[in-house]
Amino acid sequence: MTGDVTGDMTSGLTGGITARGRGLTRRGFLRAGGGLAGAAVVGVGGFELATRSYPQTGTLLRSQLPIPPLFTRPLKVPEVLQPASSAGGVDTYDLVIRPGTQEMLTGHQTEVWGFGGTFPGPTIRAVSGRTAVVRTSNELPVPIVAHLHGGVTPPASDGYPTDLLLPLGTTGSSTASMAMPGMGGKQDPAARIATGTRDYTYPNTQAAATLWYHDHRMGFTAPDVWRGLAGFYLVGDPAEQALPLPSGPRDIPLMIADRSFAADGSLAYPSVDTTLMETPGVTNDYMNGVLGDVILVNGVAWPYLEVDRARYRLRLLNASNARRYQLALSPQPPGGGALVQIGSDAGLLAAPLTHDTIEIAQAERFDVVVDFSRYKAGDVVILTNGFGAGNTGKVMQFRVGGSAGTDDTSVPRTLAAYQTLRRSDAVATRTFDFADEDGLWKVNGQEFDPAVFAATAKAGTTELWRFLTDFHHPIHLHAAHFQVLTRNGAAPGPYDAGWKDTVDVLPTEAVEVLVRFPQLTGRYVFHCHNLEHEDMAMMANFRLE
Amino acid sequence: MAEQAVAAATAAPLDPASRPAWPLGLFRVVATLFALATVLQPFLAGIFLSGSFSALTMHEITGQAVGGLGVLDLICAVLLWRVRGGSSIPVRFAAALLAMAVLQIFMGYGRILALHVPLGVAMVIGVGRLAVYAWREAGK
Repeated sequence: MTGDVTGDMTSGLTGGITARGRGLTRRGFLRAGGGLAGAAVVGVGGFELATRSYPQTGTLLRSQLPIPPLFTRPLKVPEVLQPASSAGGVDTYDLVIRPGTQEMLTGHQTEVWGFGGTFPGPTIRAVSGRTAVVRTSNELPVPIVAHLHGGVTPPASDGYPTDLLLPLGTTGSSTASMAMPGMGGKQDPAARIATGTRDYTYPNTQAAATLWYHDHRMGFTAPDVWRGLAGFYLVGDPAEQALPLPSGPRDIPLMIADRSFAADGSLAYPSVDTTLMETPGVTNDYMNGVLGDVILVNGVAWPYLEVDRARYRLRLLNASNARRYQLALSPQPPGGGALVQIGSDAGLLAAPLTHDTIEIAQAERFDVVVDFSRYKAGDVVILTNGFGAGNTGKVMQFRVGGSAGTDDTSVPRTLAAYQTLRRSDAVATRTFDFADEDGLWKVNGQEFDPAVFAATAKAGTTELWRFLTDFHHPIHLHAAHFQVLTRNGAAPGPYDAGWKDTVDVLPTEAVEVLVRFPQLTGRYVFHCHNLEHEDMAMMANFRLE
Repeated sequence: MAEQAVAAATAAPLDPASRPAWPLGLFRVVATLFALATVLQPFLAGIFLSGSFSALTMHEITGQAVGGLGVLDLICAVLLWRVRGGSSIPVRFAAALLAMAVLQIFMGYGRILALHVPLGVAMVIGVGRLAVYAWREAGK
């Protein structure tokens, strides 16, 4: 027996030599050649398939209407919300959440749910160290929860998923039953439920950064955000204002989000319960995440922007539910390096970083400066998405104008004071495994339960948190900011720089981050920011004490 | 065929009893360690996927060990062939496994998992068969 096995092994190793010795006929040789060529084609195809990386975890939902031509409508910049009062050193804003109608796709009026009735909602420009109160009223037919993403916010205003703001006019008896859906029958006695109006108080005790607000309702965050419940919240501080960066009309927030449309021009979304009241989640085909085939920037499909030959500060936000983007300018300016990153999720970098492309996961922000004077007047530049194909491979268009204008801006070599955290700063190490189990998305094998704490940390300390994944899971911590320490045992990647609140963890990756907890106490969540994963329980609590 | 003739002429003494035994012992030890380290790899990968952070680091270190043992294994196979005399099969086999190990390390760091996993399966079979060869056929 042993000899036979050896014989097989030997002939396997020397098979090529033996065959050559047999004197093939011409026809046989050609046939063999054809077979080899066929095998090579299959082999190369198979190799390409096998080595292909999958840019995101999700399933494409196709729009049921013809897609109009791209780059035909101008970019809209969300209006800046003015405070209703600035008395006593506090800026108070009034913001009503209500349905609205807007033209996202040329020729179609689409109903959205918006802060201020628009998608995106108005931009709030806050000042570091100055408290902002956002008096929020809910005129939608469903409860909402407003969360300031990246905000260092006390628990009462952080938008915990069960801290529902019920619609105006809701009667007391329905309060309890409305808190139930989306929690798998679990109750949350600690939920702070309000009816009609709630004051969200943001102390803004944090550095200048591009934050954003969005709905965070238990079990329904994905469809609520899809319908439009998101907007920018930009924190400024004196140190940032002293920098010679582009400002005013040349400081533009860009909210990139994919959506799909039904035949009648309304937003399409595969909810199990289209009332978004009782049963959370999407149909089985889409539990991986919902990908749209229309790319919106600030609520307009594939817009264009006329730019001067000057520097622009573009605050890039990926507000998509499941889509990741590999952003680049096409064509690249001579010499490349078109995207000069000056800030990450939670603030300015210590020094600018030059990129040809930027990979941006859901909820991440990249604050970049683009110098359009590197292009010629009349150039047409497209912001492309290397992770997309066809229409989803394009995001927006810049039309470079003739006028150079005056541009006394620059990108300084030093942007902000920056403290690099060290491994030795960590007082505790914790590991969290984000993976699918029994058809639910879980953290360390647990589905979300408001009463269970995955971690209890001391306010003001630094901890080492390790994240493991099965698929794409961009991981977001509320209240705390962190720095990426390692990625798969090696140095952080090119898109990991700076203070962050969301880290893009790819399939089967292991990422270490150093988290600095703020001087706040209470209950917070951390979760996957693929919103379909978040709604299907990939969320956990940590407590600060 | 020609290279075997050369090998027989230069390295294989006619009297089997006078063959030095040490290359066989060395080859057996290295081939066994090579097999054990390789077989450990899918376990470490599985432990990583079950949520152990340190298992990925151990998978990386063991992967480097597999590469090093692959080099040693090839050297030992050459010694067995040239010093002790006999078949060149283990040399070719060890060379193929070393090539696979190197490819495996590149694909692991490159996260080309769709090829990394099946090649790993093939390697486990290969190193197992080579270890069996070392303890059985190589001694004859």
